[in-house]
Amino acid sequence: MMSQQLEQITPVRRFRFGGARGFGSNVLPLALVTAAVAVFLAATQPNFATASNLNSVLFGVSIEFLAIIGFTYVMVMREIDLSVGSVFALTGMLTGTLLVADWPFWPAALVALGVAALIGFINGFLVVRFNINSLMLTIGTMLLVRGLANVLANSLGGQTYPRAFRQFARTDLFDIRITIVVMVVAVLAAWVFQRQSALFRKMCFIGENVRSAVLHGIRVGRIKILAFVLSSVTAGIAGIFTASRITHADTQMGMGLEFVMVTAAIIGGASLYGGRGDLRGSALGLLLLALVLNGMIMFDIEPVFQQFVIGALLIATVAFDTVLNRRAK
Amino acid sequence: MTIAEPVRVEGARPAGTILELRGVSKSYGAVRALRDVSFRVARGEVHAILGENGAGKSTTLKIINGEIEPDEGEILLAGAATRARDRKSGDIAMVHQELAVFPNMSVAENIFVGRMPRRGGRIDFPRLHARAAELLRLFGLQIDTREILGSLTPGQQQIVEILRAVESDASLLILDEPTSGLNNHEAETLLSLIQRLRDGGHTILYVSHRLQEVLEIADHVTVLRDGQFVETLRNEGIGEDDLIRRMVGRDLGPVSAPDTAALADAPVAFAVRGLSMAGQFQDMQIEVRKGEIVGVFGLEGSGAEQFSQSLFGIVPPTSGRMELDGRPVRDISPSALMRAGMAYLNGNRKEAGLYMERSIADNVSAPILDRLSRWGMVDRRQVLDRAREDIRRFAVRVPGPEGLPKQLSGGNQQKVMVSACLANDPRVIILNEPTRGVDVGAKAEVHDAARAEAAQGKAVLVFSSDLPELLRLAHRIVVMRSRRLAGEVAGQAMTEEAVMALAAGTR
Ligand SMILES: Nc1ncnc2c1ncn2[C@@H]1O[C@H](COP(=O)(O)OP(=O)(O)OP(=O)(O)O)[C@@H](O)[C@H]1O
Ligand SMILES: [Mg+2]
Repeated sequence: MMSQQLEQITPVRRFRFGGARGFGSNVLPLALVTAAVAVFLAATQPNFATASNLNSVLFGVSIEFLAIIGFTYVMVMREIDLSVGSVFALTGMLTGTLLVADWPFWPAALVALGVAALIGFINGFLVVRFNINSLMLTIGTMLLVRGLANVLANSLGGQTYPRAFRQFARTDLFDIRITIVVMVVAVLAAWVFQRQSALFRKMCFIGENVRSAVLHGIRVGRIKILAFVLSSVTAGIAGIFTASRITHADTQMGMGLEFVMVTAAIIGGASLYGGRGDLRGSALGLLLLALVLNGMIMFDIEPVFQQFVIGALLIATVAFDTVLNRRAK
Repeated sequence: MTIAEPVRVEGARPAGTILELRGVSKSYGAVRALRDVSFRVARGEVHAILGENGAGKSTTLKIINGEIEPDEGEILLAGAATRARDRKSGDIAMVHQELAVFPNMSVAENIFVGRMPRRGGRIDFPRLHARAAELLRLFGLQIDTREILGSLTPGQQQIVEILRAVESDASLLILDEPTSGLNNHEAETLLSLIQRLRDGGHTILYVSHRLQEVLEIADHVTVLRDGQFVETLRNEGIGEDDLIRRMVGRDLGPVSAPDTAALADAPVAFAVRGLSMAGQFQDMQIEVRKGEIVGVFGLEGSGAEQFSQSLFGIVPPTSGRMELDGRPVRDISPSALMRAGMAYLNGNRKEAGLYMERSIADNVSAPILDRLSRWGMVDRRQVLDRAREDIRRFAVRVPGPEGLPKQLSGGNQQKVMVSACLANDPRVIILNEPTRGVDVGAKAEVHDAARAEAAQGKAVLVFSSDLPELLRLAHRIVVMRSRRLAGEVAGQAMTEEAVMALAAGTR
């Protein structure tokens, strides 16, 4: 029977099934859509294609991008971390508070990131150890951490951070904002990571069928905790840059960031149902959202509509994701 | 109709053809699942469809049920050509090979989905649950019918799905490998139920890889091979060999009796000492020598399933020890045991063991990603090469390593799962239901693979509810009863009667 069956499969061996999930999704269509939106804005709005506008859009995206790094990989494993926005705010403000108290920069930043890592660890540990639904758990952490951040904001009052820290986000490397350089490097690294690394594959396996992953000896708990820690730390780094950029403590900082992240990640190829996700796509998703918001400002659409648009996009992407997932089943 | 008390309707078996396929073909891309298949099914008979994995049985049944549209050919019901849409909403009920249940609904709702008994416009819940409980008792199941289906074992879910089809009272019932998830007792119950349904005038289309079953209940047997119709046989004076020859197109060689003489001196590779889990099993002892295949048999509720899971740390034991190559195991968790040289085949591929939406190559490399990587980076060429080798070794019917498990027939999925299980070159192998849903030829191949592993000095532990399989494969069989070790049989004493006597406690 073996030789007989081999004969049958040889001629079509090269045949590829459609819809096979690779490790890393197809970012090309998304890049085209983003480019189309940019071209449209450039053609209709003279203020859009100016160096200063593009620079500020990219700068904003590059900071948000830092926060979506860990977030994307948490989603790959069919978990979610809604505490990113709060951790983002707390880490930034804690760094600022310590600096106001005359700490040197690096110790202050490292202590704040240590706190972020601890929050991530607690998230991951509780999810793994007690099998708690991460959506509910991280809503809890989100509120709790937000409370802590507000305490810091109140104690700081309207004080601005020390001058050296206000300049920090404006650090340039090769005449470009350092966060933009980091984003480019991270996207390239993510490409290699997603294409080649054993760890990313394990994450995909966990996201697709965690029971199978356990049977295959994959250390599910360890990897999940790692991803939650990464998610908090990357959110924290973004928070430090943002605190420097907005120069003072603000209770609104990072509000609703988690929803921007979910929307961008799903646009970029992640799924609420796990098993997929692509940091390159997430970056493009953030860029697309930023362009849309930027365009709305240029077309003089009321700022209150921004929330509306983010909400509508969130619903649309989640619905699309669910339909796609159902079709796959 | 009532199944609990069957009423024999006078003349309930009207003659004539209820179903006819004419020149049916179906392709999936480059895969020709069915080619010009024609056959007839008489009203009121049990008609079995046999064939190897991937022969096209499930595809045929789904076409009859109106779920997929054939590329060519027509399907006649009671002599009239029909459209897929009409068949789908018509007088046909099907139990799928893959579970198709609603895990978030109650057991009773699953049985009556779409046909809730009503009283004065409202759903009559007391009657719903009473009837559901009555149906479940047929299979000796004492389940709360309000329970959520997802909390049942896969075998119980399978029964619920069967009962749903039965309760629909459709005149054509299609059962695609209904017994593959059931234990022996449940399978027998199902067979007698089928006989009663036939006596009640229903027509049953039946697919199974258990040939004994088929010979027991079928009136006619249609054989498919490589998507083509081979023959429809009357079940009179034919034996398993006749069926196998038509399915496979050749005779399978006889199995050689295992040689156990050399095993007595081999070192113990795996030992279980006083292993217990509260409420599940107690004080289990087992020693497996290098090169030995030890079977473990226990009826439902004997604790064998839980025992198997705790051996691999899926649900860790509460007390007791395990030794690998004479060294105590400290960390009883799947990842640690796997690194120590153990591998585990899950008993139910629908639940765990595969990634349905990842390529075959990804599936078979999942347990050994670290070994296929350098500095954390996977060598993709090696992954593909290994997958090709496994596809060849187990004759998996798939165009290539990029194929997805969900596109494979059930038996081929099982082969992929076995390949993944053996991938890390384990020294101790725990197999659960290794040939569930696998055809006779492939069954022999899986058995050969297990024997080959043993011959290389591996220790193999097989848990199976298929007793003939254990008798053929194992050197000795350990029997569990009431959550304890009941005894052991080996050599000449290893007979079906002896094992059943131990398992049922009549000895
Ligand atoms: N959705 C699909 N996409 C691609 N190929 C498919 C699909 N479904 C079935 N096939 C192919 O069609 C062929 C027939 O499959 P089918 O499921 O009918 O086999 P089967 O006889 O039921 O086998 P088994 O005994 O293993 O269940 C197989 O080669 C299978 O790979
Ligand atoms: Mg099938």
